[in-house]
This record gives sequence, structure tokens and C-alpha cells, in this order.
Amino acid sequence: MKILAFIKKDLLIMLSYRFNVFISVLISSLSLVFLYYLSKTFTGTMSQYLKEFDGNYFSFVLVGISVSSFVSVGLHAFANEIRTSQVEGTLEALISTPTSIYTILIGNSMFSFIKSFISSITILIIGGIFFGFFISIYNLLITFLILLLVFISFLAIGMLSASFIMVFKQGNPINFIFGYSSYFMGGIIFPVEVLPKPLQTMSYFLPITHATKALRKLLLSQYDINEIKILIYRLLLFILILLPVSFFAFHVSIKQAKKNGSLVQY
Amino acid sequence: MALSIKIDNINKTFYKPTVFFWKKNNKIQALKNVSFRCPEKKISCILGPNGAGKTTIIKILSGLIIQDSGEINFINAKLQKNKKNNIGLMTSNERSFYWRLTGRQNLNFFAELYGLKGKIKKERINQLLKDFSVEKDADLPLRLYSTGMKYKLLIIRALISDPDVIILDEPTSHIDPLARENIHKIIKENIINKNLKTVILCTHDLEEAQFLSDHLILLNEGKVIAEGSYDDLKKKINPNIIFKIFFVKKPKRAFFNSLSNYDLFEQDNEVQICMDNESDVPEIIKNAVENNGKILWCKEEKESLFEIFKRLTSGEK
Repeated sequence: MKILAFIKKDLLIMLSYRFNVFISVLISSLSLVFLYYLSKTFTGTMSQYLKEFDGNYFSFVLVGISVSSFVSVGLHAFANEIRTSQVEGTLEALISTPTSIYTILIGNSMFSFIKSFISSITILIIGGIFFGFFISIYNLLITFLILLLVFISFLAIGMLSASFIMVFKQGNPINFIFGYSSYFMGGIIFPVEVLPKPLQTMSYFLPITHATKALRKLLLSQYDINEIKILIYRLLLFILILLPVSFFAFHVSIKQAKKNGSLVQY
Repeated sequence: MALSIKIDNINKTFYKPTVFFWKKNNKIQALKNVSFRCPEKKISCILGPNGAGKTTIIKILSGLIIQDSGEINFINAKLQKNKKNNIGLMTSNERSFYWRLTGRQNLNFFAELYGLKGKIKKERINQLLKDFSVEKDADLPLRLYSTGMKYKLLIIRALISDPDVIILDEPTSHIDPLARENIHKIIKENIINKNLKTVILCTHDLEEAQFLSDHLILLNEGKVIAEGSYDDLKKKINPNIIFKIFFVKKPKRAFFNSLSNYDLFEQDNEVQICMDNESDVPEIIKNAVENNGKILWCKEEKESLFEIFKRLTSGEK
């Protein structure tokens, strides 16, 4: 499979920057420790918004952080990879092979998504082992499913984002619409319920909101899959709407770029 | 001569960006009814000054740009059906590789995109690395390669799927004369003589075009202004032959009198004769010898491709 060739290529490139691998692991570990001590500051003060999670802010934020890496990768990976390959000149070489532009786009970004996936799961497992929230194998499987749905949602958003880069080269409204709002209204660092009502309503239009809710209910409040299935359906609905729109937008942007000769320009 | 590619009436217009994107009044017509033929298993060279439309044509051929109108017909059915697998594109952009990877890792990656797998992929890459003498440096990171080596790797990548058509876009544009000569040798030996590929070469290097090409396509301001072999083009601008003779001892006056039907130019011991037909040459030589002339050398004076190019692009006859 051609996607595997892209993953292998990016893995080799990552391994060629050995010091960066070491620093990335170190920074991720340190940020966990940082969050742990931040949450300890609030231990004993029970916020009404965290009642559902036994007032444990660390567990709350850990789940939020584990999903948030998809926001950043989904929004930036596609657009960045397209732009980098335009600037570096690899895009022309890739497009001239018998590989579809979708494979090139997804293949080039897949390694970043896999890294996010691994990082999300690692964060949750570390949280489970060292900082005391319970993850059963059953929960882990559903976690995988939810993360997979988040992954596909952000894959679609990323493709939409790449469509803008393909045509306009710079200036990407998708980052603004889904990026900042996801961090602000998606319930990553603080519960959505602390926001004013209109913003709470707006947060329903972000896939991340439903993903963080579902994961918290599953991992922190030990809900059953039946109790969170409505959240899973909402994620599926996002995918059903976003994915065809993104494919169409990307198809149109490629056609436009091929017409005006700007496919490999930057 | 068997044909490989037929290009008919290609038109392409670009629009200059304007502040208001709905205004499309700044047109640049890059290609105007461009038609030409590429013979099979020969090197066809698209030649033209900057802005003539060479790169646009190359990009259309390799599927990076869509033409507004016109047709590209690949005569070979296999090629028509599976274009991208059967066209190898070599651009002069050495940054189109991943510099953190080795030469071999880069080739492995691109070979997989061409659908090559396992043993076949390995053997193909090893063979090409050997043919192009890059074998011993194949496992070095690309960032340590010289420019000449990177250019060799660019050609190897274009050949990796064993395509029928190779497009070489300025294959020696940034390299030194020795590396250039080496690349020319490789193109002649490995691509044409050994592997019998149809090559489309795009260059503004006239020496390279004259040395490598069997068929020339001259583009100027988006139009094909001439097409054919070097001899065809030469005949097109000047059908006469200029024949030069250098005498050690000049022949008797009778010899010069016998050439009254030709345009003659005489300077010291050198004589230039302008004629319509080269079949007159043996008779002229015989006549010179019979009139006690001693010839050091004689040759047909060919007009350089530069002269032809200059005349055709300026519209001068």
C-alpha cells in the first residue's frame, strides 16, 4: 500500500533527527508532570463543574489534552504538508507518479496522525497507571473507536484546510473556524458548561466537544457505551457531513490549481 | 519514422492575478495552437527562449497542468491507457528529494509509489544505481551528494518504473561542464542506446540540444516556429550549402573561372563556395586537383544551431 510507503518515509526522516525525538519525548513527559502539579493546586476545592469527575481536574484535563493533539494535527498536518511539499519541490515529483492526490495528501500527513494517536493513547495509559484513573480493556477499545472518529473528523477538516492552501497558498479560514474555537469551546482545558449559553450552543457544532465529553464519561465516570452512544452518533454525523464536503472541496481546488498552473507553486 | 506522441492544437491561457479575483482581464496566452510530433525511441528537443512555453508544455505532458484545448495522443496503446506509469519526469529540481534520507531510501520510496515491490524493486534500483555509477554512494544521506550526483539520481527516478517516455526538463541546467558531459553520455547510452526510450528534452542550451537531439521543436512566444531534424531546420532557413576548401597550393586560375556559376568567396588560401547541391562537390575537388591545386582540407560549413535559432526566433531569413 502506498500509504505505508509514506509512513515509512516519514518515520525514517523523524529518526534521522535523533535529538529531536529525545526532546519531544522529554517535553511530552514534562508537560504531564506540569499538569499533575497544576491539578494538585486545586485538590480539595470541589468545583461544581467537576463534580461528575470527583473534582479531579488532572484526569479531566488529561482526557482533553489527549484529544486536542488531533485538533492541531488535523488542522495543520494536511495544510502544512501540502505547503512544505510545494515549497521544497517534492509535490511535483509526487504528483508525477501514478499516485492519486488524495493518497499523497493523506499519506504525507498519516505519520503525524499516527503520532497523535499514539500520543493520545500514551497520555491516557500514563494517566491511568500513574495518576489513578481506571482504564479497562473494554474502555480502551471504545477509546480507540472514539479517537478513530475524532481522527476521521479532523482528517475531513484538514482536507478542507488543504483545499484553501492549494488555491490561495496562504490564508486559511478553517484554522480560525475550527482551530481556536476547538481549543476555546471544545472542553479541552475547562468544561464547556462554564461558558455563556450562546457559546455552549456553538460548541455543539465542533466534533471535539462531543469527543471530549464521550471520553470523559467513559474513562472518568465509567459510563457504559450505551450511555454515550448519542455522542458517538454526533461524531458520526459530523463525519457524514464533513467528509464528502471536504473531498469535493479538495477535488475542486486541485482542478482549479491544475487549470491555473499553480499546483506546485507557493 | 514511427511516432510516439502526437500533440495537436494545444492552447493554454493563464490569468495574471488581480486585486479583485473576479476580474480576469490580464490574460497571458502561454501556448497558441501548439502541434508537434515526437518520434519513437528518439530524442525530441523542445527548444526556445525564456517564456516561450517550454515548461508549460512539459507540465501539460506530465499532467501537472490541464490545457484549455487540444489533444495529446500517445500512439502506444499501453501508454495511452496508463500514462503516469509510462512517463518518467525528470525535473531539474534537486530539492524534489528528501535530503534527510539516503539516495537508496529516496528511490525505494518513489519506486513504491510507482507500484514496484519486493525483489523486483530491489533489483531495479540496484541495476539503475550500477548503470549510473552511484552504487557506492547509494547509502549516504542525500544532503551529502554533489549536484552532479543528485542530477543522476533525478534521472534514475525518472527511469525507475521503466517507462516508455522520459521527459527531461533542463537536465543539466545547474551543473559544471564535466558533470554535464557525463550526464549527456548517460542519456545517450543508458536511455537511448541501451533502453530504447522516447525522450522529450526541454532545454535552452543549444549545444546540448544539437548534441543530443534527433528531432527539434522550436517554440517562440507560445508557438511552434519550426520542427524537424537539424538538417531540416538548416535547409528551412538556408537551403544552400557552403563548402570550404583550404589549399596548400592554390590551383590555376582556370579552376576559379570554372566556378563562375557559384557564389564564391576567396581569402588567401581559403575558398568558400555556395552551392545548391552537394553532389557538385566531387567534381569541384577533381577540377581543383587537375588544375594543380593541393588541398589541405575541405568541409561543408554548417550553420550552427545558435544561428538557426537566432534567425528563426527573430523571424529573420
